[in-house]
Amino acid sequence: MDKLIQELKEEIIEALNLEDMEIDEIDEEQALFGDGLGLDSIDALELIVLLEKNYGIKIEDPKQGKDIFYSVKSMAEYITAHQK
Amino acid sequence: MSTLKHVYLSNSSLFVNNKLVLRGENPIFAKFLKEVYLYNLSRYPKFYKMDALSKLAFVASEVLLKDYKHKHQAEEVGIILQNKSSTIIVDKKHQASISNREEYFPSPANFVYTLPNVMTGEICIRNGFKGENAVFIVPGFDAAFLMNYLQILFDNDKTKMMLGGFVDAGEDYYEAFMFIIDEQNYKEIQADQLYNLYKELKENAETS
Amino acid sequence: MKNTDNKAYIISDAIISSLDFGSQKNMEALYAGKSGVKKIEDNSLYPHAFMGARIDDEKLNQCFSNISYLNQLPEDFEFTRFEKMAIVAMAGSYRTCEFPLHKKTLFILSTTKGNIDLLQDENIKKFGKERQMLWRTADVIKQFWGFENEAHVLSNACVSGVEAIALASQFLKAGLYDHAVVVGADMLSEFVVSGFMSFQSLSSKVCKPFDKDRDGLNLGEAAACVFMSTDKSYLDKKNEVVVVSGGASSNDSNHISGPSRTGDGQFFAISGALKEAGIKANEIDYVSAHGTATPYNDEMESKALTLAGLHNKPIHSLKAYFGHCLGAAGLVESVVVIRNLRDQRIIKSLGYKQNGLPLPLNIIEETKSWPLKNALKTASGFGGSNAAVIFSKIRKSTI
Repeated sequence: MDKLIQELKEEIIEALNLEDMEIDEIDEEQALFGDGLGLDSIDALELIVLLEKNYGIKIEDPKQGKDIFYSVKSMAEYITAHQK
Repeated sequence: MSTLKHVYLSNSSLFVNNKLVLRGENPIFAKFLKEVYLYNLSRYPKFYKMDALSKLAFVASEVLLKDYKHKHQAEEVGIILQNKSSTIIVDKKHQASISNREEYFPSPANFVYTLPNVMTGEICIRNGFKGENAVFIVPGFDAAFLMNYLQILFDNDKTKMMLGGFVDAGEDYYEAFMFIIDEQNYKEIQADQLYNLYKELKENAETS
Repeated sequence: MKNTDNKAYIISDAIISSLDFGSQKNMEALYAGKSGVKKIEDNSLYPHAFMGARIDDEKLNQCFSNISYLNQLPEDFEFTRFEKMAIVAMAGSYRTCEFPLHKKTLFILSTTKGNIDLLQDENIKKFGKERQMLWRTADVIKQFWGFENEAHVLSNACVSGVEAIALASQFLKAGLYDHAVVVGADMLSEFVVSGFMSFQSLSSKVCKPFDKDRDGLNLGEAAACVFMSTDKSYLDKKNEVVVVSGGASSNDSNHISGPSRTGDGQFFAISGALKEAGIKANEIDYVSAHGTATPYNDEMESKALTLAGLHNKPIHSLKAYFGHCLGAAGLVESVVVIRNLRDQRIIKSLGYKQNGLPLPLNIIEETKSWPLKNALKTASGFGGSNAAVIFSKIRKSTI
């Protein structure tokens, strides 16, 4: 799980162009949207692409995204539970 | 023309009002843009999310508007830019992401930048500008058409302050010329003088 | 260059769309309540089926060959699909009333992506790398006609069409040109369909602007042309004339892909157009809104129209008829507004059943006769762009 969390942080920084952020600056339990990392709606769509591209997980209903993408940790848990 | 504040960015050089203020150490476009961003601008994380064209227009506008004070309302300030290559860099990237059915992952964060007016949008968001907006695609900077349109807008009381210019980026070239024009000085600016100023800056950047 | 007393008269217009070719035939389809949005199964556009509004290729090629006698370029010069769309629309306008090609005519092309399909390898081989550059595309269209002036391309996302008409009218009123030919075109392409799919903003049904159940937009393709002039000798014998009486653009200054949460950006464009037209909001008789049928866009418009005091005026969106034709949308829909002013009719907002807006609007539910003098056309798009233009019907005896 820890390995996956580290990997996800790297992927998020790259996919969302958070160039001025370091891996250590992202707390896995911190909220990604809203007041946390301050991501927006395009970032949410980009995270959907990331899950499909890197983990083969397709999210059909974008409303589901709210819970899955709450934090890095919730993303990691979702991946672990759904990866084939 | 002396009252016209302007910036020019190309070939790793940044000019403000005809003066070379930054000579980039890195000839690579993306790295040079970051140098300009870090040169004297305040932190703005959204910068890193922009495509190269928006980054270019953004840093030019930031340098241009630094220390520029005005009291106009949001809807009285606008921006009109010209551009030659539209959004060719991100267009090609998007095309590459869909050219293979097995590796078909179009990126929404990339796709949103496949419109040239997103660069004017980024500048408006940063500065709270809500006035007239347009982007024209031209084979080269067309000072006459741009000045005609700007003068129409001022003469008919549709705006009080405008950013204008030519901002263009492709895979191996980039150029930004941007100026501020307002209700005080717009009548002084002649299109041919503006074009000559642009030519002069272009030559200076090539030889600097 | 203060506005002179010149008026920007609408002389002729044309639409080619998924519904039909020609303004008159498009109006008949709209009055009959037909939609051009259909299920499209074409692997060259998208790996799966989707709903969209497409122009008939066979008809396009037929029309293009019928007007080849107008072509000023060598006979064997090959035109792209996009160029054919724009040229056929222009020819529709030209055949109603021949626009002059000399130095006093301004030529504007409004588009977002033009020849975007030329980024595909096989097309680069055929047409070269430069052809997809919008200025080059516009130059080819210019050369087909033989305009003396250079073409001007306006590319301001989905507001391009509305803004192009407003802009052309400004140049005419300022006396810089006597005539303007404005053409707007955008086509369905793999590029655009895949992009909007990645944005998850496409509906799997015919879209439902302003409705409670709206769940996204349909993409469409179309081309439309408007020929305007300050020269009265071009006016036909009818007693009533449509003019462009005001226009403006603005920016939300909020988000590059999400519409304003307050609607103030669109409100500023509407205010600017009203100011130039010299009329108050209560003198607007109906509004042809943008109405893409995405949840946030329509919500924003309900706020902007309420801010402007237009929420009780008859309002429609034409997106369920034509799909969203991007840079051509504003031009196609403006031509419909011009025709509505002439016909004194308003068209129902197809797809609307029940209010789904935080601030309710007076959505048109039935196509019917309606007295019209001033009509407002609005548009909004990515980059936070907005535009508004007002068309007015005036009596010839008053000009």
